[in-house]
Amino acid sequence: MEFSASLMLIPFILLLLAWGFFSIIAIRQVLRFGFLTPVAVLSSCAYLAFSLIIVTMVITELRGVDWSAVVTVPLPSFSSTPTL
Amino acid sequence: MRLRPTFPGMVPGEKVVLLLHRHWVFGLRLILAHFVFIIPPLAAWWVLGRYSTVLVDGTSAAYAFTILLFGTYALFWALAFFIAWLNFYLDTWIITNERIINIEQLRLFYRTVSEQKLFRVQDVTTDVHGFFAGIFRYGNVSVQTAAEKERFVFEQVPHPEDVAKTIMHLLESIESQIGLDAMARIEGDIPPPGPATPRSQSPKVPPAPKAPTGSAG
Repeated sequence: MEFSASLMLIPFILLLLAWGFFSIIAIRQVLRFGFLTPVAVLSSCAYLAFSLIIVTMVITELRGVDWSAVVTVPLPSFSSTPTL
Repeated sequence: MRLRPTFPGMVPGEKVVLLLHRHWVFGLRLILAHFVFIIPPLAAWWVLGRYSTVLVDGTSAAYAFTILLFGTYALFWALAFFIAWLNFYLDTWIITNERIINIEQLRLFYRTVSEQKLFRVQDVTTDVHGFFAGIFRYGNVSVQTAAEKERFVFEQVPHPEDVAKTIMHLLESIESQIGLDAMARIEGDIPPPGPATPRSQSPKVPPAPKAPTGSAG
């Protein structure tokens, strides 16, 4: 089976969207119901900073990847004649 | 600048006396539990670097796949940690000069808020049991009220004895300032005293008696 390497980005982007959605909800919950205490604000900032670092690292590491390359995934083949 | 906590439904003149969360020991336990999940990707990264050539060529599709996988894992690990922390931190007990409010954040989309008027409090019990509870001074504070609802339990809060004392002091101050009967009357639990119903100053709010209306039958 062969496919373009750029296709690998689709599930990643979908997961990233889901992650973004839940992150926004979680941060909203903390800021709304956390009484805006320094702990609530700092923890939200720490979470955002950590996430930003991860996303930046991923983007930096993927910069050199050749996305036009064709990826070949070897599929198992079955034959009626036994191989010795 | 110190932030003054506010919450929806706060009435004018109401002051937050105590804002309680679970003891920090439980926060630490949560952090340690989640840090265990950092070990597998680190181990996998070490194995890939040592026993395979996946991480050697930075332009290969295998390298891209690995980075995407590790990046996704890290983001979702952080999200799970943050949500767990949110569930821990947003479990809050608020004692104001008028009410006790119990806020439980059970899941990201599941939150319950219940409250009781302070004058309804009948007794306050503290419960400190266990080795760590004794060392770190945390425990449960159970507040029994006159309402039908079961007891309010402040779970694993720091310095439970001080919390109980604060509640009792607030209750005493309410009693001395206004009087429990007057408070109950304001809330509508006790009807205004009529000429044929002499009232006594009792420390507890009695169950709402029917006022004589004068037109029997």
